[in-house]
Amino acid sequence: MSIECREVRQLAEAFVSEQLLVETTHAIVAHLERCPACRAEVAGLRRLRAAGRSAFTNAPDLAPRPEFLSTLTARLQTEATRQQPRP
Amino acid sequence: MPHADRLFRLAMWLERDRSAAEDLVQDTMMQALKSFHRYTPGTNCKAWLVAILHNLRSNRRRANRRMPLVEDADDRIAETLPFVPAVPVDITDEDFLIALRGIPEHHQNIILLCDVEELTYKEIATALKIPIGTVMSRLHRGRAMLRQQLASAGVFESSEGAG
Repeated sequence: MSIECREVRQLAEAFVSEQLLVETTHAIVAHLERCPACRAEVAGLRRLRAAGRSAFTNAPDLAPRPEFLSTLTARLQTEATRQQPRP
Repeated sequence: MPHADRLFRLAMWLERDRSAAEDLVQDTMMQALKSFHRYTPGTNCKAWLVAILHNLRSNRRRANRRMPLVEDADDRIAETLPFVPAVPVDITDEDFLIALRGIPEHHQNIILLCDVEELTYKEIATALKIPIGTVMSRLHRGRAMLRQQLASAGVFESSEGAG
């Protein structure tokens, strides 16, 4: 199965998000091995995805307070116990 | 507690207020516990929690009349994108977060759920109650706008991109 640059560009985002069928993924991988321009585009999309993951995992402003997590855990445990049917 | 940290980071980004984010995550987890019988074992638990979180949030926004009446206005603006620059080689965490804030919220959400939380297109469509085609088009436009934001902020692809 051969696949051209135009098709690869259209599928590039779904490819990096791993949303494609195995056959299509294999065809894109084969194309990328011989096409530096498409390889650069796909690498760029992967960088963008990695940058997002890094920013969200590391941003201290977005992190929960440890006290919030422990209070929430306790509340959920209490609620779970309350919801259990009595023998 | 699995997923609580990720869920909080998402809520904090959406709400921009710690107290509101804590309320949202707490209510999400309590709701999940109450409706656990509706969860299908073997499916993505994080996607299920994200769906509950978005549902609670959109109900509240609707109740507070903060929900925009024309939801697709952002999509129309995004359709006029003239040029999509290359993705920069070095993107710092700060670069990314500033650029993401610079694009419409609908597109921010999709990028977060796809690229950061690694939900499938179908899971995102279910969580946000939108068609899968809208997920794909918003993702495409969102990434294009994000690339423009990074370029306009001076985060260049490489030395030749800076010239």
